[in-house]
Amino acid sequence: MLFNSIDFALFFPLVFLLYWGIFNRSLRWSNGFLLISSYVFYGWWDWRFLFLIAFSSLIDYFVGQGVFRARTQVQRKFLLAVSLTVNLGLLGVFKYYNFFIENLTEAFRLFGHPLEMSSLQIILPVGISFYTFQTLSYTIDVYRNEIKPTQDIIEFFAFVSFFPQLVAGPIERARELLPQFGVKREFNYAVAVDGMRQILFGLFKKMVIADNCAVLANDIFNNYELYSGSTLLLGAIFFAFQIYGDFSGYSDIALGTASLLGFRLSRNFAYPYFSRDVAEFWRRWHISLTSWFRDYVYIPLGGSRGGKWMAARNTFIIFLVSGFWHGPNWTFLAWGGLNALFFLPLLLTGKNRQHWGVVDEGSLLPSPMNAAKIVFTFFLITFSWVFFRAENIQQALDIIKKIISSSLFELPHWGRMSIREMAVIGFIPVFLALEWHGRSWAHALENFGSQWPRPARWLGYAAMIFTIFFLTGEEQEFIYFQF
Amino acid sequence: MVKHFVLKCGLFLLFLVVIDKAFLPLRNSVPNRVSDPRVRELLEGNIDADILIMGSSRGDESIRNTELEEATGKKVFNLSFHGTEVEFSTFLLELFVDRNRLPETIVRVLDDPHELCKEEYIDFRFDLLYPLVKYAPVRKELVKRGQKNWLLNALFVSHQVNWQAFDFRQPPAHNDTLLRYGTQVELNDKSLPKGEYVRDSSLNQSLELREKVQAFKRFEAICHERDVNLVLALAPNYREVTQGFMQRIKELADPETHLFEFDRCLQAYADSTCYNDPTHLNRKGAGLFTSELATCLNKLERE
Repeated sequence: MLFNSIDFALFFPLVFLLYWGIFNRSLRWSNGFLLISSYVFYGWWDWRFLFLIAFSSLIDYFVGQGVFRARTQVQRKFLLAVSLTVNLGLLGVFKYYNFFIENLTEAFRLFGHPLEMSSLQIILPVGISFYTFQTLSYTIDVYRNEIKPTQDIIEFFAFVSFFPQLVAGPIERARELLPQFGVKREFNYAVAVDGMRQILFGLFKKMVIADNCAVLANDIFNNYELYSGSTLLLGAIFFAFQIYGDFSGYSDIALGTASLLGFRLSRNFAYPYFSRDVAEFWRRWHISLTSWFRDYVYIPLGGSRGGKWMAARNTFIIFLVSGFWHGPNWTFLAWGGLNALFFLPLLLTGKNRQHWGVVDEGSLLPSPMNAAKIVFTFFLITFSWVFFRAENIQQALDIIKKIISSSLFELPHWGRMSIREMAVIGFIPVFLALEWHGRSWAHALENFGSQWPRPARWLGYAAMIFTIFFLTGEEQEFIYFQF
Repeated sequence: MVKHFVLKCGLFLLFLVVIDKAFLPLRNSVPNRVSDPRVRELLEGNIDADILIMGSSRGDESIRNTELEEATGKKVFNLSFHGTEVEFSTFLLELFVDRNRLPETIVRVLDDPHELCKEEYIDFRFDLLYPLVKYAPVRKELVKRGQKNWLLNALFVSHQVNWQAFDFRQPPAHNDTLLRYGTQVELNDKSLPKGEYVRDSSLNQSLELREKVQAFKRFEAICHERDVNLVLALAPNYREVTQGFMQRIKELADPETHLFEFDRCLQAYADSTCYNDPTHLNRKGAGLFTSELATCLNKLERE
């Protein structure tokens, strides 16, 4: 079920009413109801893959119990290995099997030894990369004695499959989310209203910014041979806003939906396009994944304890792994590698932690120096998005070759602009202004218009809803569903 | 608290539904601003023709309407739209027969070889329908095809209209014959440079789409149920006709349907000076084809 579908618009109010009206009287009933709702939500897409979530949940539930009760370190390690093998094995089969087979076959062919291995027709289960990482974090945290395993299987199953964040995150840590299933939720009016605002802004980001930028970016990337460097650069900028609007929009809807049910999810985006360097960008973009890799890959590899070169090596590794997490394609690896290259100079010169906090807090506009840093960082990141968006490495290189050619200084190709194109170009600055204005809040609409009289505030919300209606075409999936 | 919250949400929804009605004048004014008013005229029941031409750009560019009128003595209207396919034509025909005087004959110009297959350049042209959401059948079709949501469509006028409604610019000028004959483009004298325009010349039936075959059959059924002569016409390309294409059309077509093919023996069609591009005739080529079609239609009339 998509957040931006009518199915969800009918499903969620029903869940909300039943949850608060009937099931929340007992914790067990309310967790059971959330579990059923989450399975309906996921099964709407393909019920067969419910068995996969159930299997993954079951393994980690029992492994968690086992690790906690194990008497020797060997037993604990063995059980952790079982969880890692099962979860990463499922991910490997469903997501990476064909990639490895194809590349292995190609490598053998190059060395003159044709290999007879056929790829499989496998459907990638939506959200597998997200819930696999979530269950893994539970087992690893139990193994590290950071949390105690839950004794309640319903609670654990509801935690793994919690529908607001099941298919595209945020990837929640067990120590943050699981305890929330252990206490009775209280309805908080102010939090619920804020949740509605966050959902509205998420829908605006997705359906106005992302889906419309997608139309322009797709046209430019799909016909890149025909366009000049300047047009291709514009295409990359449109894609930068597409992917941000799409993914952070999804996260906003997830957070808002969860808060309507009395849960608090982790923040996944913190105005990343206002970052002053790449290191800051990565503290603000897809925070739940970045921090997952930091805690479960970077630090176990030694982090920065072995000096700068070890930190550089480990940074490179997590960027490559992070790229590969997005999908079995060399373009994602290149994207990860490129970001590592942008990050490394900051790390090696010790400047990777110089920008924390809200940029130019309290100011109407950024200082000239910060504005220049923001623009420079945005272009570096946009440059790396070319690899993320391209079908293959060759295409990405062709596009970059054109962007850095003299055709960058030609006027971008534009025929008679449609109103939709004009609207997109007009709405990007509006969107950026809203984000800039709200950059010290959890989301851009958190306190927006809070001093206005109610009719004015409602008119503002109505204007956003009508804009969504006007600029929406067919329901479009979220980009991160494919990961 | 929950009750209070639900009540507030309900009130906001009501507020939204009420102020949404302010968009009704906007929605109703859009049809008057379209650059090509043929679908609007069709919906208003204003098209009066004895011979109706339907199809994609092949239908638009292969026939010279004035000459067809002169040669047949019948009123001709061309309801072909660039980049459209059989499902779109069938939808238009369904609208047409309910609202306009029935023509004696409908000529549907076939798309060789994409008549029944998915093709990048011919599609169901939603952009022609979006400005016409004032009309209930158009809204129904957009909902049916997933362009609009049934619930939101029923509740909100603002969901029915889309960004095109805000285009208040002067629409691109069209030629004078658009309303009289339905000709969308002025046929030109541009000639195709000589050369090889190669493509796969045998029909790949596995690419056929069931919906398109159904639409093809439905198109025929609409004509036959109303005793309208249906002529399925094949215009020339500057490339060989796809092998097996007409055979497949014959297999699908009812016996009452007339199939008309250009004269493959006519040497003029082998000349690149008859073509605008590899798949479209120019004024000279269309003149030849129109003359052939007129002979066929006159013969049908006599029978």
